[in-house]
Amino acid sequence: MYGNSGTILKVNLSTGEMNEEHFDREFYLQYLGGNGLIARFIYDNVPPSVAPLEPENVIVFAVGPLTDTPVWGTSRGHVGTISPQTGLFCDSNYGGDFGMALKRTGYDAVYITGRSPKPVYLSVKEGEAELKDADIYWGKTTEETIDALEASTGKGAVASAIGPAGEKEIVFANIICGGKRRGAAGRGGMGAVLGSKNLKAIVAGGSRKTRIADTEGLKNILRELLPDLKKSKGAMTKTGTTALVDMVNSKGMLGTHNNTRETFDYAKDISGDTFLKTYKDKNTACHGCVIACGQKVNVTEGEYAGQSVKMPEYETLYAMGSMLDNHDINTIFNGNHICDLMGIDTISMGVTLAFVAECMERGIVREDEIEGRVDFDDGEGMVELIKKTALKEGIGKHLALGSSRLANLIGKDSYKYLCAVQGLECAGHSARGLRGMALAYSTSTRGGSHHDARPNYPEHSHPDPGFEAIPEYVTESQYFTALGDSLIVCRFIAEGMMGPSAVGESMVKILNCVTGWNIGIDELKKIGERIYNLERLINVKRGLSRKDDVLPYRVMNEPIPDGPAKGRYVPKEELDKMLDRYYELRGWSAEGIPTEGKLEELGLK
Amino acid sequence: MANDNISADMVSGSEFPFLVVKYNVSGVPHTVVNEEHGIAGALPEKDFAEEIVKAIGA
Amino acid sequence: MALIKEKDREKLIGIMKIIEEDVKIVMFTQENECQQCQATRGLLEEVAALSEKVSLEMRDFEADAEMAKNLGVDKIPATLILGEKDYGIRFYGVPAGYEFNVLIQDILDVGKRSPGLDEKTKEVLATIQKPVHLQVFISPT
Repeated sequence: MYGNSGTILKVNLSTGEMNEEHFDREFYLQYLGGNGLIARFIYDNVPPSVAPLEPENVIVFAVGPLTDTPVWGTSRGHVGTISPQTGLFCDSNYGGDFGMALKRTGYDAVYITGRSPKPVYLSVKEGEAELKDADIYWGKTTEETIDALEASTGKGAVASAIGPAGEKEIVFANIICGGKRRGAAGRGGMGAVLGSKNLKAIVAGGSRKTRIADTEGLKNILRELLPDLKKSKGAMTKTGTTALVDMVNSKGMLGTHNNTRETFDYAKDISGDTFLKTYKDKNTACHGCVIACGQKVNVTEGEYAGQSVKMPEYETLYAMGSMLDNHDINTIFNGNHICDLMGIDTISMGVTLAFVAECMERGIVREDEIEGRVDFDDGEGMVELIKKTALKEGIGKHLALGSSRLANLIGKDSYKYLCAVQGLECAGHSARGLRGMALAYSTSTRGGSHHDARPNYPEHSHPDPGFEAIPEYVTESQYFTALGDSLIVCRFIAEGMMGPSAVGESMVKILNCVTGWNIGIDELKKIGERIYNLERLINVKRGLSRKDDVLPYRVMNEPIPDGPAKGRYVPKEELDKMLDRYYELRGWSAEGIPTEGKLEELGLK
Repeated sequence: MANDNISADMVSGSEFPFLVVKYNVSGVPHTVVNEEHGIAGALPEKDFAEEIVKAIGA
Repeated sequence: MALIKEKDREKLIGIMKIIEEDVKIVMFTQENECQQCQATRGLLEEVAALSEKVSLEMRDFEADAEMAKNLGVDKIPATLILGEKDYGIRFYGVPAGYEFNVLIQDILDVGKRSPGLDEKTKEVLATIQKPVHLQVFISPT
């Protein structure tokens, strides 16, 4: 087989049993790899009665046909499970080199179920795997664990690990993935799933090469597409995603003060220019990437002063910066680093803090109730709160619940201040300002996520495009994402040379070169559609329907108060109209349920 | 009533959810002794008394 | 509308005849009564009516802050069961469901001035020389 290997590794942590399963070309023509494999395996093996932190939940790490090929951005991996944060299907794409390392073992996926009686880590090599004692790593940071495991396993080995937050099963604990530019499977609390399974880490390493059907053809296409890629994404080499802060703010769409405003007076202090001028240390890159968007910064104050740490991405500059009225960039460096070390999703962390800060400001929750305070514009306080959250200490026990559960405990009218959908805190792309994000957040499978239908600033910001063209855009974008996450290729690379936001010729050509297939755009889109419907089915079986495709109260009731996007919000009638049209395009019922006809068409019956 | 040193609160978890979080109450009944130690479940009378004595570090 | 059903009322009146000494129920609420405080007050009023020996005293958490502090009351609705002295018996929240049974039992125990514990248990408890604050978490069913 070209592209995929055809084999997956199945691990039962309760019994310690491991075995291989094989799939044929037909299967991959249906599901491709990565996201596709994950959706299929979770759907088939995790009934709706299984709770996310029970041993019967399954978590799958998967790679795709393009993983570890000359295509840039193909060292990435994908992971998915039922999320303890949302109770729904959740999947996450992560950077770094773990995907590549896994591909080199010859496994397209590692399927993990059960619960180990004591802490273990999984070591995967070519054609073999072993569960090893992880007692000495339990309690250690992700960095210590990844460094130690990679060193002891040998050259080329890459590890992914949870931190103490995952061990404590915090619902927004993440998985940190190794490589020179490390990645994070950030959203949805998948780190907690590993923690509940007593699985501290996975380390993979091998030398199996991915077979490519047409190496010349691939080389030629890549050479052709490189100029486009450089033109569209080249700026990321200098600043990574930090430049977005200023850009988004200039459009009046940067969530500030728990999204009460969307213009941050101090955006410049935490944006790309400041970063470049004062703090940038150097670039880091996923294996072989020409864009090398990873950045490291020199911290000048606070906890990690004098060290070079990972530059916070745009989302973190939003969640821990503008959302908290915090423009003390060093505190964001430090807070971000703690999240990385302890294994916490920065978006959920920052937005949860912002939510609590607003509730405290409004007097609907008191200091004595949650054993401490959360204030806006207090970067140092924020760093302390993050530490406490990771350790579930004092106020940290309450913060570790995440904003949605806290809203339930606080009661009163706290739901009005919640920036989350299905329990997942919304990312830094405005649901009120960017028309596309309104439908994106409400229909994303994993909740308030910006990943499935990504933001489109050129077309959807100014002038106001209205809601009309959005259902088509979101539908196409969601296929594009599902496919990108199955191939697997970095979204930035895909946008730069295969998209930018819908499946195009180049994606098909590249895939055919690698796999030796001869499929067209429509067939490829169908694979994307199949994967998306499967994800939806998993959620539908867990009770999801139209009533859950919603947006936060503020988004639907309070217009942006000032700035270039002043006045924008999402009235219920507009969301309803978009959902009607979106369901129609998807071939779903008016309640948002995939119809029998659509499922048959996709071979999902 | 048996000992003047002892005071006992019965706390309804649903009205005071933050206390449930503060004391890591994961099942009921759950008894917190001197804001620090937890005794899970319903125990026979004498055992319960012994657990309390143990908890206060006697 | 009565919170305690008629037939239960009859039963309770019978049970509470064994009360020998005075029992004072003190409830802390607030001027702007929340729903739980209202429900608690209603219930306690009915309970107090079940026996001549049982009385109900209403207090305000803000207006009687000093008293609340001295009694160690830090949240409301708070229900205290007192005899000739304060035994340290408190109910926080609405004493409904299972809590209600415990409330009645406590009234009976205080009314008999005896905790109704096993000898062995009393021995164990007698060894305690320092302050012990117990908080028993329950959910009303």
